[in-house]
Amino acid sequence: MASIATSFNPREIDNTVEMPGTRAPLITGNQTYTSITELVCQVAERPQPPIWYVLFGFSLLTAIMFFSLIGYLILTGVGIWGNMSPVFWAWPIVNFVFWVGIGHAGTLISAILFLFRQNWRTSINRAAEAMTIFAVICAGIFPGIHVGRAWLAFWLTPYPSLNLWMWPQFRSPLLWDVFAVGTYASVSLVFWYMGLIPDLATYRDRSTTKFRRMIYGVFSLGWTGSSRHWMRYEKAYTLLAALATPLVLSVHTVVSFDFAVSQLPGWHTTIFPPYFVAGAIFSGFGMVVTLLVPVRKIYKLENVITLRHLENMNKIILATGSLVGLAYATEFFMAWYSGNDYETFAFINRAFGPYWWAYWIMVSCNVISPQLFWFKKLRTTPILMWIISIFVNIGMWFERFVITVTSLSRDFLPSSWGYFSPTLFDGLMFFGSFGLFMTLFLLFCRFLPVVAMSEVRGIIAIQKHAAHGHGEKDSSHGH
Amino acid sequence: MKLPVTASEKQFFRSVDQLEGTPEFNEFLEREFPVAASEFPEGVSRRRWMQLMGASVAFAGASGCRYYREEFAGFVVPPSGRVAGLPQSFATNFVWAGKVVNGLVKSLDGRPIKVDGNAMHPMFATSANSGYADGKDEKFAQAGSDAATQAAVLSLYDPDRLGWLVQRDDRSLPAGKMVTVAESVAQKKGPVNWTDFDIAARSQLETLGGNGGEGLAIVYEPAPTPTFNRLLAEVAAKFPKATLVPYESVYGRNAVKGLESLGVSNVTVNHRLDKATVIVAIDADLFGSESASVINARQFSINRDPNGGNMNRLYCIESQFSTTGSAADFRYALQSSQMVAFLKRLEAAIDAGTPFEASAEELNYSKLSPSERLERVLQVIATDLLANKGKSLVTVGYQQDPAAHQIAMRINAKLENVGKTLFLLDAPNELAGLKSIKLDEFARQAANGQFNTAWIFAPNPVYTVAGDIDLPAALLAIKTVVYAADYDDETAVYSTWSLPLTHPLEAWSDVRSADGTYGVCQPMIEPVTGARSSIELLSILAGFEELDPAKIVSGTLQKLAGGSFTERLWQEALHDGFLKDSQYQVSSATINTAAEDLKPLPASAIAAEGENGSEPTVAKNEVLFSDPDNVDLSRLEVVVLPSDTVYDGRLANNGWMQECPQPITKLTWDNAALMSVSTARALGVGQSRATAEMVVIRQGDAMTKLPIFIVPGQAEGTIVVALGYGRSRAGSVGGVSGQFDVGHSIQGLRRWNQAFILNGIEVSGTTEPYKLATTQDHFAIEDQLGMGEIPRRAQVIVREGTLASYEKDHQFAKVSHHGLKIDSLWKEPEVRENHAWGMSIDLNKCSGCNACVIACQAENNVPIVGKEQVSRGREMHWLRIDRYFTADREATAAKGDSTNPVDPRIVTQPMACAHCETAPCEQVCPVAATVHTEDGINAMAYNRCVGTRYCANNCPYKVRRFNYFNYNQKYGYFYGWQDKRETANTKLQSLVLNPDVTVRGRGVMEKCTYCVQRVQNAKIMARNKGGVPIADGDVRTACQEACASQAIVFGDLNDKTSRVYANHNDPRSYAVLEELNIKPRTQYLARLRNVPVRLMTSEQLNPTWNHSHSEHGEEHHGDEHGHDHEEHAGEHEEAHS
Repeated sequence: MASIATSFNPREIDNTVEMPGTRAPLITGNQTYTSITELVCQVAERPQPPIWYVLFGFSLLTAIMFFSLIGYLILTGVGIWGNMSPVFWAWPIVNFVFWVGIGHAGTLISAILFLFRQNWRTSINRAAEAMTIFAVICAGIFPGIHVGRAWLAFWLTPYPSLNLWMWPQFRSPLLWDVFAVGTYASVSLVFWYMGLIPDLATYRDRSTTKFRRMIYGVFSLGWTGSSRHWMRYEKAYTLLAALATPLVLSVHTVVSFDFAVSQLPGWHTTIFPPYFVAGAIFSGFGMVVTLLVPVRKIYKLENVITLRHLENMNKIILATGSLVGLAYATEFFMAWYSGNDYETFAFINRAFGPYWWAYWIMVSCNVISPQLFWFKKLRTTPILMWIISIFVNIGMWFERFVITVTSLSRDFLPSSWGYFSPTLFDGLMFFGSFGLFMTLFLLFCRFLPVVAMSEVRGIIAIQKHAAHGHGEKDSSHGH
Repeated sequence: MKLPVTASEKQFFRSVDQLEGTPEFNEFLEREFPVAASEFPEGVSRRRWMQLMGASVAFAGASGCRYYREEFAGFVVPPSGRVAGLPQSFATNFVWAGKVVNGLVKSLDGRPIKVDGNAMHPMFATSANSGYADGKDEKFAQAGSDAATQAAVLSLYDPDRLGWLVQRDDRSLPAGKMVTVAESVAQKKGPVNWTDFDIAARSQLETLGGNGGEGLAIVYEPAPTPTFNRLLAEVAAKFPKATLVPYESVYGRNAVKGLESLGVSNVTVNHRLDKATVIVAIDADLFGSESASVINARQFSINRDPNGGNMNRLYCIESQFSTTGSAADFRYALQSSQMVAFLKRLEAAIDAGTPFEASAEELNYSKLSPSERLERVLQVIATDLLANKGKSLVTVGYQQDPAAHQIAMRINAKLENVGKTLFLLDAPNELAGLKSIKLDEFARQAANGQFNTAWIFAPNPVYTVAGDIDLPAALLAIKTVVYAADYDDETAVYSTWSLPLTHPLEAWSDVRSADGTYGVCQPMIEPVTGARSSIELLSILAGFEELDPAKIVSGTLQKLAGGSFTERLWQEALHDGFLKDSQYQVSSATINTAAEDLKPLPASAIAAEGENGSEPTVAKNEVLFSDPDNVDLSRLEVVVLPSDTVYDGRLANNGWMQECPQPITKLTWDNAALMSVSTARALGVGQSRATAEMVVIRQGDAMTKLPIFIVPGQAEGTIVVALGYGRSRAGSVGGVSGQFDVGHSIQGLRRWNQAFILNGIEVSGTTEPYKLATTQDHFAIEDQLGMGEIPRRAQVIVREGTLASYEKDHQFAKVSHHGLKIDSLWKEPEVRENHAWGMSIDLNKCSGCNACVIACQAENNVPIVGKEQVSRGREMHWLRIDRYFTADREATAAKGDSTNPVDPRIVTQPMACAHCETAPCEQVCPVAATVHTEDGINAMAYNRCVGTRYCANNCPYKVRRFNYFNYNQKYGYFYGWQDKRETANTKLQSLVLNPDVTVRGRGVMEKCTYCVQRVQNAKIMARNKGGVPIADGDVRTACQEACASQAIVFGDLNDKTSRVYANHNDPRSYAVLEELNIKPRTQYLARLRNVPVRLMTSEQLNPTWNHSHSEHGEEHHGDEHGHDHEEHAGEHEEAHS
């Protein structure tokens, strides 16, 4: 059975071709319920390809370096970074916003696209959600270690302190951040785990060792696949999706408040919430593409994560990239139209001041590179979209750099202007966070279903139904 | 161990003898000891132990120790009236970095922690605050000081000070490790001690005594210290064949030489800037390196109140850009070597006597060519001086040729200023009649083996001496060199004996102030390094019976007071800090103004008199001004001046001074070759980002390589370099050769006869980069965008007008906010505060001298961070002085080169936390670590701070400072290991900390607190007195106390009679960035320049900029002005690069 699926050449059919009146198939390769299960389960059940070991080893070392550097940082002081006056926030906060932004795609795909009945989400939502969780973990680390006294970072949480008799200061956007990111992380985790339950049960049932069976058994929470289970599962899933949907918008809105609520020229703008959300979705999808293009190749999942999935994501990247470009233009318009000298200078300085290079890297990566997706060839060729998606990631990191660093470097009093340069530790710790992210993601591929099997099976059913209904005679008909 | 006490009655004893005689004692001796005592270590008999015990008992009870005991030690029974933990203040006087300090030292439980000026001292009392008719002046009696004085306490606790006697028999280099306090503590004891030295000295003196002091040389630094001089005279009397060698690294007697050439001798000169309406400073940094800088600033500032109608006018003609130049009403840049010629022209104009009249169609100053400008300046100054006969003053810098002083004195005499603004005082010279030789002569004779013994009482001559004198060789040729050393420094390694010398806060001494007032220097603490003072050492040399320095000093006072001397007078002099009515008498000498009668200037008697060579390099009747478009490199001059921070290098190991931003350049931890834009271009060197290119300066065989630093407005063709850097044995802060260097030494380039102004030097550029650490413009702002924006903003941030514009419109400083409506988004809550503390800073008085910066550092335990951290922008100063360049915009625009502004001027602005009523920092702190107190102070709860740094981002003034590392201890693991300076903050140095202020740890934000500890103390005092209200002037911040010009006023804004309230309601008062609606409690009084009309630039004549603000509000950027902005953005640039 498995051989049928894997021997199929995806180029025999291009499901990105639009034919009027016909719904393009989302799953290719003449799949059955069983073949889907086989396809997905083999990822975890078969020995991992050598590339996995290479990547995992490298990622793990990088992650270990990351945690060692955190230890060193806490022993020594945040001065090992390039933070300075007036740029009191630099790479750590840039990294935080970068990772939080990446964490947006998962919940958007699983919650919003679910509510809008976008069935193509099913092949990618599991990996995207996992990516979200891991990105939020990376994001959460940075503000925690960024504070001068990291061992007291818990003071930002509202807990009934017995020796202080005080709450945190609720007017501070940083506190809102704690709530927003905390809520987002917990809801995303629950949502992800809920979705995993039927598939974990499949893994349990297919387990060949007692140990695996036990572990998967515990985490599948006694799932039997009965109708009652399914009924409750679907209801809960819908409810969680409804709950998670506003969070997609709220997290980055609140993160943007860190900047927008302050009075710094270049930060103090009302456009930030929508602009940040658009940017976050943009970067999130960029990262999903960056991850899934190799994953579908390595694990031979081309029939499940098809070109059409990738193309759809690229279209979202194109749309959100354009939104981001519009936001950049709007910022400049507002800087001029507001008549505020400080604001005007902040933006001209962004584009033509000492950090012009960062600004133009940002613009090229975020505004120009997604526009390439207008060309179908580019948005349907995995290697090209992979390259563009990496540019999107670079651009979005620079967007946060530009907002954070250039605004701070030249604010009100010219006597306090400065020029920030990062240290080795800034670079190593940013790199290290990728190590942590990749370690977690590779473990996820190794031990958990990377595609939501149960949901994809549902898609096959719909696909078949649709095919029958329209009298379609495609090759997937009649298994 | 219990003392023997009889059952019947206690017996007190005064001495061992008395004790030994008692039967109880004998009984006690014979009695069997307890078990513990008999286990005393072997080798010490019970009898010996008893003797030791007896001796210690005797010492414990004996009075008549070195100093009055109660002044230094903790007490079992404290003297009445003394409360532990409450500071005491003692008046004292000492010479510090070439200046006489009339100080009031704050001492806490026997530990001096702060030096301020003594407001009671006649020097300050005669120029007290004025303008407030409320009779509360005495509350505001404040003196002021300078940065070096504020940093004096740090030197006291410097762990690198020489901690033990060092005897070097082998003086061949390399000299090995420095001997410091820290090292001697580690070794428990040094190889030699004072007893060894006393024995050696005795035999030495016996030999010398036998031959009348043949072969003995005493090198000393001349200073107004009567007792030292008296002892020196005694030594000279005892050893008639001994040789005296006066040597000062920064020679300050050119004025006296100039006077002597006019037939006036044995006088000192005392200026009274407060009596002068027109002051012309010729190459004189009146508020900086001049020895009377503090009192100058005070006297100048009391006539800077436009409301009182007594605005004086200061012209500054100088080559460097000094603090005086930035404070001046009008500044003209001219090479130092041209000053004599300039003065000759000025004298000629005054001799002509006819004031110049301006014609109606005359061009304004902006439109003149460089040569026309010079003519105009001469005309205007001469006219102004003639119009203010008896109310004017022409003063010349100490570094100038005696000829310049001669002419200036003659001008003053012709203007009838002598006896009115300039006093010639009869100064008794204790050393008169004693034969002395110069240091160059000494070096020659020593090399010939004419001396076998030398005693050195001058700080580190080997380092400071001019390059053409081989002092090391001279010292090596002397068998015994005794050096009274602060540090185991460059001179110590050539000395056979290096004796630890006391810090002025540890020693008895005395001084004469500029007006002659006698003051005693009394010790505040036992010498922390076991040192002896130079008075003690000299009295050994003089073979005195009486070695108690207090008695010796009081002996001087006794001689001075004559028959009226009483113990009470002595105590009063100690208490007040001065001897009443001890000023010098005004001399009856008259200045000979007839030029033809002049004697030629006498040959130099002492080192380093700064004659610019015997042959003048230019025709002295014609002033050669430099054309910025065509810098004549053949006329380059190098002006070597003592550093504004480390003086001649003797403060090099003082971290506060090393990190104190130099007033104009804002450079720290370095010196550089300062030059104008045009000069740098002519030399083909540049400066960008954090690095500057190096230049090589050659004088004969001597060569120095050092980085350039571009200072717009410095005279073309003048390179200014600060002394005191490049020390090879300064210590863990100031540099140790082979380990790390701080700056570059310029000493080798100085010539014995060319100490300050070096002509005939050769300068060539290199492309070698060098990293500089500045606290402002952390990188030179090189982009047109930034450079265009700075003057635009500086205009609004530091508001400035001319006196004329102020008289026309008192509200000119507020003009830019006319039409600006500040609305709050919500209804702001009524705030009820017990007090509303506020501050007012008068920019018209501030000269940017840095005294407040270091005072704040001393008061608030602000750490230093080292050069590497400064270059990262992490300096911790709570109070900084912002410096902005402005320029003649029209002339600059006409030239079309915005990077090389014409006639640049500097405005300074002290900037610290403004304690905004609606503080942006408070809104964003997630843990409520920065909050308002009930007094309206924006406070920091350090314990609560976790260090998110959000507050600092949201602070529009960027006055918050973050502890990136544990700056007060050590930086951290692996980090900072390359920077040995961190050790400067440890151990002994921590004695300098103010116990009233928390020492902040790593990861915590900090900033100015308005000296909340002082506010709280005042409140506690008021409550203890039964709830009396806190009067205006009861709370004075550290910066306010340090400000000699009284520019800073602090007080309660709720008190409608307070000075700060009055200042806030002054028409000149404005708040920086008030358009943000943050309501800062610190406001500034706008700066006024009292420029004569004929020297006004187009902009000053017609301040259109402000008018456009008044019509359209400050935030205008509409179409109609967009063009204006573009045009002006490039016109007046702050050019650093």
